[in-house]
Amino acid sequence: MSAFVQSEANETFVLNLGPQHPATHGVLRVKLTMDGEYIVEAEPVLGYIHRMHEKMGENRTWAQFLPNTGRMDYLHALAFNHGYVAVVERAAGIEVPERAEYLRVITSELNRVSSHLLWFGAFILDLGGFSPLLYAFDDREHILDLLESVTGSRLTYCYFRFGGVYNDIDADFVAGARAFIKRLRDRMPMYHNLVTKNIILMKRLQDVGPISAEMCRKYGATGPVCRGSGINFDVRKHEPYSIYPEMDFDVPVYEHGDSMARYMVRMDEIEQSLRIVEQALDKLPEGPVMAEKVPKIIKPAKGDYYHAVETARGSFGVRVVSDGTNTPYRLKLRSPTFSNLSLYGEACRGMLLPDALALMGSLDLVIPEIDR
Amino acid sequence: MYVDPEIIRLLAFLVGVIAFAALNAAYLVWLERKEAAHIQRRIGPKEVGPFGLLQPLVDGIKLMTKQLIVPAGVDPVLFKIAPILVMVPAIMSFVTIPFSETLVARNLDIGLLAIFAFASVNVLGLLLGAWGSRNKYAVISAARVVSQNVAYEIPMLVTVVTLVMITGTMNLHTIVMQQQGGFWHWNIFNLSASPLMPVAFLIFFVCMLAETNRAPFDMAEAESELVAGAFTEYSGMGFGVFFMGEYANIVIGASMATTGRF
Repeated sequence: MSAFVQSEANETFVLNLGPQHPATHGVLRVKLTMDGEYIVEAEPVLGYIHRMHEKMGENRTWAQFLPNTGRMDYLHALAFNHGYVAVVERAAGIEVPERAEYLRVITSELNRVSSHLLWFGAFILDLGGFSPLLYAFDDREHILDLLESVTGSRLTYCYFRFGGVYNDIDADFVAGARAFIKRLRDRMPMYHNLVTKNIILMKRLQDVGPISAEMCRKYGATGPVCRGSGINFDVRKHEPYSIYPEMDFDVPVYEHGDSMARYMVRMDEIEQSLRIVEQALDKLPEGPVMAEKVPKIIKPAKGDYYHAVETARGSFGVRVVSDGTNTPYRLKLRSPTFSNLSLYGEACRGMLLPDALALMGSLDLVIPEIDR
Repeated sequence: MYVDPEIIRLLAFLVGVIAFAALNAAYLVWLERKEAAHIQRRIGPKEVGPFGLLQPLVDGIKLMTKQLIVPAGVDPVLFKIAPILVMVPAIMSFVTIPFSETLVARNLDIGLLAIFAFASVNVLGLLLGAWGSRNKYAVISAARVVSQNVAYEIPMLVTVVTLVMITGTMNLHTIVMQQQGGFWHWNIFNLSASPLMPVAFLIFFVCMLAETNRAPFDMAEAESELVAGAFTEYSGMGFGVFFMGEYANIVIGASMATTGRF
């Protein structure tokens, strides 16, 4: 940062990063004003994959909108499922059986691990290392197989229903999940030896892209981004929902605010998610996975409802306004990456291009979720 | 009709050297892909031919049959000449490399110097191509290539000067002949001349990695940030020639190490 001096002639040029660029992992466009390889100004340009999800929600019934949620954050689709079904259940007053809540937590935590694994691989790929991506995909494949066996799909899940989940798990799933937890625990030290302790990675990440706690508050950053800046905020702990209060897990918080801190937060979260899955599998109660009396056509009472969940990227909030009919009057989706990206312009000012891309990778962007 | 046998000899060498460089480039790529695959627990190319051995051939056919796209707004002359400017010096460098006691195209007394002179042209070709393609990523990449190559050329030349000092000649053929016999005759173990010869080789090796833009010195290409570096705008054989030039340079580097040190 300190090496950055604006040249006297003020000769800058505009570098158009994206919408097709390997480091943006989707159709994000960033307009960079550059002075040599230093960034003077960065302006994210959104909207290349805008699909009007909120407007779509107003034009279909409550249940018809459910598959849309899995198509916003395609990496942690189950958490988005969860946020939407939870708010509708709150609005319509539907009780969810306990077993269903456990299944929701088990599957969405496994999904969180898969999301973090993919981020891990893609992030190291951004930094120029190719091999860890394939190792991470190898592990992620096990989660996808597990989730496929119970949800029926591998990426854009639509597994949760109003009042429960669509399918019960079997003994194979439980055994598979336990085997996977053991496998990933055995492999985490390998990841740390291969990547975290790598001197090149340390030099690329430590003290690079600092994001202060104040900046996180200003832009509303949540998730690993704010936890990497020393803000202890996790919806699962601070606005508990589902069965998270019964689970014993820690919220990893790192004070430093650099790219390394965000990296470490996510790596630690993998272990915490595994702990949650393990406990949930131990405590898994018997019973139905669907509430008995869920009306065929849902018509929540008039009102304004909000529910937030913690996704792999931060707090995902759904606000619905119901006018008592079978379609939502208004649907507002507060997606975490949108806020996390909004601080990018300020955070990468004065940085070198490769460092700015490392910072972008450490924010863990999922573009369809930003544009919705 | 009388044809000077020297011309025939040189033509044979030209064909031979180009074939050698191209084959090396093709199979080094195959080897690299295969080995990287095994490190990453993949299989690598396997569909075309046994063990995917025909993969480079099909890749070559694909590149040759692709349309040569010259994007709007580029400098057409520079854009087209740049790949050739990278390829030709690489091939030219083989002229002085002795393949055996008698098999050498031109036994120049300044062989060592000639190779480094040719090697520097390669950077120019890359820079022109990047500049000509009018792409900002390419220009950034070219700036990196030039600064990196110029920076690493100095220590590399210094290690080569040590070689010249202990052998007393720049003729590659003579240098090789001096090292005949067992491995204790190799220049790298010529500790009586200087105990630091292995170190010099190590420096030479690292510089060579930087010169040829291989990992971990591949900031120039940096595919995750600069798209494809200087080659961003090139498709088809334009890219193919660049690529072959790059690998020919690697072969030259390896040949230099072999003739000079072993």
